[in-house]
Amino acid sequence: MAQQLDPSRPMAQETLVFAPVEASPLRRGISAAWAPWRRRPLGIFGAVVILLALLLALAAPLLAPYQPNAFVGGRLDPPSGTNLLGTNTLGQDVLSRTIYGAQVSIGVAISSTLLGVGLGTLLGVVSAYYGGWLDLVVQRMMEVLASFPGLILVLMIVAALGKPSGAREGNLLVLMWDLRTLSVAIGVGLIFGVMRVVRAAVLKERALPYVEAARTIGAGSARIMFRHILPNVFPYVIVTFSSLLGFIILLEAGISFLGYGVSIGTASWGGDLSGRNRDYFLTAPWVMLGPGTALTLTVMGANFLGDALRDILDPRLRGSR
Amino acid sequence: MSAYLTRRMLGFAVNLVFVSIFVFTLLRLVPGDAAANILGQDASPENLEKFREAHGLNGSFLEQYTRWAGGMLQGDFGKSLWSHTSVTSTFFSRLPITLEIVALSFSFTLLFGISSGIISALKQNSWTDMGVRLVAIFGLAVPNFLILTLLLIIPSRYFGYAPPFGATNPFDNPLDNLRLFVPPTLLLSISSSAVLMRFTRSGFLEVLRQDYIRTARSKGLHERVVTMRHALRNALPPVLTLAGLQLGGLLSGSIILERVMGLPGLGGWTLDAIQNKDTPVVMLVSLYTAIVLMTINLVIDLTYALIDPRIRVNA
Repeated sequence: MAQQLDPSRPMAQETLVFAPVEASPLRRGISAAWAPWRRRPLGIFGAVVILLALLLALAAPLLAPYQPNAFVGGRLDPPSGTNLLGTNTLGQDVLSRTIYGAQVSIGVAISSTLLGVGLGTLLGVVSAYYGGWLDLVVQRMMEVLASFPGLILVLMIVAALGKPSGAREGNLLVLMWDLRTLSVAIGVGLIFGVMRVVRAAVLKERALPYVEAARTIGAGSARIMFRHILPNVFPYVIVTFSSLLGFIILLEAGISFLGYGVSIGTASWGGDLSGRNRDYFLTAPWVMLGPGTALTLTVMGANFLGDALRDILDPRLRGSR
Repeated sequence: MSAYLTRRMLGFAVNLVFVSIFVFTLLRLVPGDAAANILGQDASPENLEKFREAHGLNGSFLEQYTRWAGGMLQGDFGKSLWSHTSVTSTFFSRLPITLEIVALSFSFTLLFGISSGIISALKQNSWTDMGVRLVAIFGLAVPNFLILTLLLIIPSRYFGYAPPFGATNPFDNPLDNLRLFVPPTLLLSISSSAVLMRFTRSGFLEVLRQDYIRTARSKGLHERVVTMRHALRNALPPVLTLAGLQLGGLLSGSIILERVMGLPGLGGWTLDAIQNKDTPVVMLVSLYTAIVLMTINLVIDLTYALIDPRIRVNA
């Protein structure tokens, strides 16, 4: 809108006649939010892929033609009208398992990021705001977490909390609850990375005049931290979250592939690419095609979405690309 | 300089103590009783007690930990609960495989990640740039266990490539050894190279826009001098930090590679040990990975000072 009202541009007068002069604040808000996406088709593609994966996870029982664990055909049947993506070594429908597999990937991704990003942000804000010994203690704790290769840390925590014994497919929330130990483990693995980014951002914000102003008018520490500073560092939180999303989905798939995530039999993309199925990747490639494509495409979508969000939200990069 | 190193070393030591306590606590929480698991359900209470005593599983948490730490400080990391062999000797027999995987894939990551990032930035928006970025997008998204499995089955069928099943010693027959290890480690390094490439590219583009690059060019310096001496020096430090962070990912990747290829490295050993509550094994491996990760980060911090004379290590 602003461009059309610019008097230095030719045609401005004509356009003014036809343009809706008084756009509602809501519509102006939407068009302002939409503008940066228009030049980022890959970001839109990523958002669509992630939304589709979310839809698959939420509506799996409605979308999948069969139950994920039902034996609906012969062993390793090629794709056909009844089994669109063929059947696996046990005679289960690959398409249905791929659709249900989205529940594990998306469910674990949601709960582990909520936990990891939430705790990481909280620790980052509090330790950077107070500084001193509290900061020192938190830093030491984070250094411990950073001393492990991610996979070993997560596997140790899963083992300590108890590996998920079974997962009830169908309802995403129920499944997320069943897989809670896996999500907690991955979430703890994320805290360090998130906390570091948030802490650095808060350290900069803390020195700005608006924080002092808030303190002058009598705002308490909690209020300053969470009502004043947090909204200003929130872009960093979102950017960290979105750049972690693909990584988390791959991490969970890797753990399930190794056999330490979801229990055998639960439909998951990583798990369905492991075990017996691996022996048939050449003779019956459809066995890996469903989960392999779904996994790769979702991670790619998450990365595209993350890149777009970072370009749009990260103040350090704004306008640099 | 030496004061800085002393401080870092002190930090190392403190962190190792915390790491060992953390791992010890976590393994205590793993459900199940190691003694009962190993001796079986019918084991008599006396035998269980004897086993616990022999492996330092009796007494309180604090007693067990101090016993382990006391042994460790004398260079005795204990025996594996399951195999009854010295943990250190098994560690050193399995270390070469993991070390080779991580060293090769880390070298590939540095080599391909940084060089392709620079080329991509210098030829921004060319076909080369597009191609490199496309490969990086796929490299980041394809799960490593899937491509490693495909490497295991496709070339063995069509090209007669044999994956390193019976891992050969690199010093007996270096050529054979590399022929076996290069393909999987190359694939393992794809995703970390992609991360590094994207970061190098954007960092390099940022630096190329700076005034001093324009000055260098307008002085008539050769383009190679401008990019390799002026731009690279300024773009490299953050890239190296990120490379250090990739090392943890490659250690994780090595676990997956060892599992897919069935290699007797540290990864598979650690996975089993975690599930079996084999505390001495997990403790040793955790301390080892912690030392590796901390050392690499220290080395990277020190190279900062070499690359950029403005950075003083005391800072």
